[in-house]
Amino acid sequence: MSVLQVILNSIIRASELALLSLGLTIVYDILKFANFAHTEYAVVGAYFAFILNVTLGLPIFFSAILAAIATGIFAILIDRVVFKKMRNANGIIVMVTSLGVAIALRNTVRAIWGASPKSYNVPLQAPIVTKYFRITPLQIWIIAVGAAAMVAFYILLHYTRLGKAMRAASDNPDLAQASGIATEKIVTAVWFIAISFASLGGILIGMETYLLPYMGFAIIIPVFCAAIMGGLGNPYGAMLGALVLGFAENFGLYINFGKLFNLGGLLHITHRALFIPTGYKPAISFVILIVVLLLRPRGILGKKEER
Amino acid sequence: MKKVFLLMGAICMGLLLTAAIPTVSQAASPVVIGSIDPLTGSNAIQGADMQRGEKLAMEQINAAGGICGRPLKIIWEDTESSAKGGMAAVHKLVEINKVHVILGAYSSGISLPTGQWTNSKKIIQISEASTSPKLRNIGPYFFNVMGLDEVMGTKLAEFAMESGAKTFASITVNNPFGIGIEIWTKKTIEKAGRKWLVGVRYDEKKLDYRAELQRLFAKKPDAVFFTAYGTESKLILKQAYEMGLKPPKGWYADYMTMWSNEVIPKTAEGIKGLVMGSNSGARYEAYHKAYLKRFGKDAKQTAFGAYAYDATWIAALAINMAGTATNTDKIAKALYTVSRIYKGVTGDKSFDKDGMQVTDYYRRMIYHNGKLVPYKKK
Repeated sequence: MSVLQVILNSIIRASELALLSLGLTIVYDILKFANFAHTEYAVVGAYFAFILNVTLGLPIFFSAILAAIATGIFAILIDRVVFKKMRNANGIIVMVTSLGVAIALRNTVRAIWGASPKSYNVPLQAPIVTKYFRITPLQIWIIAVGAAAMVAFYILLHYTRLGKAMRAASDNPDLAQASGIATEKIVTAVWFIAISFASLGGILIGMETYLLPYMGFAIIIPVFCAAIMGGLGNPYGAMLGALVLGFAENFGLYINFGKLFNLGGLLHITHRALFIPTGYKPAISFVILIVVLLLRPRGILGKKEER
Repeated sequence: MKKVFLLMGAICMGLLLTAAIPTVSQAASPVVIGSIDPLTGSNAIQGADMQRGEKLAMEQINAAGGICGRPLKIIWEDTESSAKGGMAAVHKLVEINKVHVILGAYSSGISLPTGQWTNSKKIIQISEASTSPKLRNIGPYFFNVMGLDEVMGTKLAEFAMESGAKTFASITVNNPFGIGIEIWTKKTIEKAGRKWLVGVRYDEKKLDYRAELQRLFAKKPDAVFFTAYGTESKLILKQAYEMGLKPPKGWYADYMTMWSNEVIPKTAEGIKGLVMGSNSGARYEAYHKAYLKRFGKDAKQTAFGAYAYDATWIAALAINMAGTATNTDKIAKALYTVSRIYKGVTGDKSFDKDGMQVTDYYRRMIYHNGKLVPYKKK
C-alpha cells in the first residue's frame, strides 16, 4: 500500500470524525458539559435516514439532509425536556444525565429496529483506481461533506450574527445576556447545528459500513479523543484533533517499527518486521491523547484558563 | 431405497418415543426445554433457520404423540449473536423457566461460556452450531451435534493446497472458533511444506476492517482462508472489493452458509470452501420437503436449521428414553444411546466419549452468481 493511500485513508477517517467532534465541542463550549449522548444522536440520525431511504424510498442524498434536520429538532426537544432544567446545575451532574440519555437512546433504537445490522439502499461502488491509490465515489463524498461542513461552520461563526452571538455567549454568557443576546436562542441553535453535524457523520459512517444500534458506543472514544486533543470547546481544535487522530490511527498501523528500531538499517536490534496489531487501533487514540495532554494539557488549540 | 430408510427411521423413532411411557406418571403438562438461538444480531439469518428447524422437529414430535405422552414445548431466547446475550438467555431459562435441557448455541464464542455455566449447574446443553475443539473439555452435561474444527481446518487447507498456492494467510474472527480454524489450517499448510505468512484475527461488530485487510494482504499471499459471521463477512468482503484485494489463487472459506445469504454477490464471487452436513438421502429429502411445506422456504438456505432439527429430536428422544425431564444424569446417559440409534438429517450423529461428534460431512462448494454451487475441479 502506498503512502498516498494511507494519507487518503487518514483524511477519510478525519472527515467522519470531524463532523462528530465539532458538534461535541461546541455543545461543551456553550453549555459547559461533556455530552455523552452526542454519538447516540448520530445513531438516531442514521436510523432516521434509514426510514427515509429504505422504508420510504427517498434518494440517500435527500434522506441524509432531512434526517440531519429532523435529528437537530429532536435534540432541541430533548434539551427542552431534560437539559433545560439543568442550565445552572454542576457540569458533572449534567454530564451524568447525558450518559442516561445516551443509554435511553441506544436502547430505544435497539427496541425499534432490533440488534441486526441495517444497510441503506446504496449500490456497491467500484473504486476509482490510480497507480498510487484507490478511492470510492462515496469516500470522495465523505471528504467533500466533511470539508464543506467545516467551511460552512467557519462562515457561520465569523460572518453571521448568530456566529458572533455564539462566540460572545461562549466567552462570557452573563455579559452576552446583559448585552441583549438571547442566550436561550443561542443554545437552541447550538443544539441544532451540533446534532445535525453529528447526524451527518453517523449517516456517512452508516453508508460506508452498516447501521447498528451500538455504533454510537463504538465511535464515542475517538470522537472524545479528537475533541479533547484539539482543546475541548474550540471548534477548530476539534477539526485539528480529528485530523491528528485520523493520521495517527492509519500511520500507526502502517509503520514498520522494526525498521524504526534499527534506525533505517544503521542498527540491527531486530531482523523482524514489527507492526502494531490491528486490534490495538483504538488504543492509538488513547496513546496520542495522553502524549498531547502531557505536552499541552489544554489540548492543541485550547485556551489557557484565566485564574 | 428411500422408503426403506424412511420406514426404518420412523420405526426407530416410534420405538424410542413409546419406550418410556409407562414410567412417567405426570398428566399431559408439557415437557419444557429451552433454546438459545441468535434471533437478532450478526447471525440472525442462521438463527431464524435454526429456530425453524427446532420448531419443525417440535411439531413432528408432538404429532407423533410427544414425549412420554406429554407435548414438547420449547422456550426460545435470543442470544443477540453475543456471549453476553447468550449468558443472559441461559440464566433466564434455568433460573426462571427451570428448564433442564437447553439447545444451542450458534458459535463457539457463545457455546463455551454458556456451556461452562450450564455444565456447572448440571443442566444439559446440546450445541447445534459450534465447532471449537475447546468444547470437548466443558464437561459431562455438554453435547455437540456438529463436527469440530480439527477436521474442518484440515480439509479446508487440503482443498486450498490443490490450487497450487505456495503461500497462505488467514483472516478469522478473534474467538475460539476463529482461532481454531487458524490453528488447524496453519498446521496442515506447514506440515505439507507450504509457507504460512500471517494469521489476522479481527474483532466482531466493528465498523471498519480495512486495517485488518491491509495487514492480511501486505505480504501478498497466494490464497487466503476466511471465516466470518454474516454481518462482518458482508463488510469485510465489501471493503476488500473496494480496496481491490483478491488473492491470486482465491479465498477459501469454512462453513460457507454462515455468510452466503448476506454478502453482496459481486464481492464474494468465486470464493471456494466447504459446507457442512449431508444434503442428500431420504432423511434429508423428507426434512427438506417438510420444511418447505411448513415455512415456504428452502431448507438449503443455511446448513444450520438441519443441525438444530437433529439436536431437538435427539434431546426429545433422550428425555423419552430416560423417562424423566429433570434428572440430567439419566438424560446424559440416554443421549449417548440415542446418538448411535438416531439417523440424522445431517448424517451420523454418534457422540464420542466427550459428547462430541465422531464424524461429519463436508461438501466442496463455490460461490457463483449469488449462490453456492457444487465445486467442480477444472
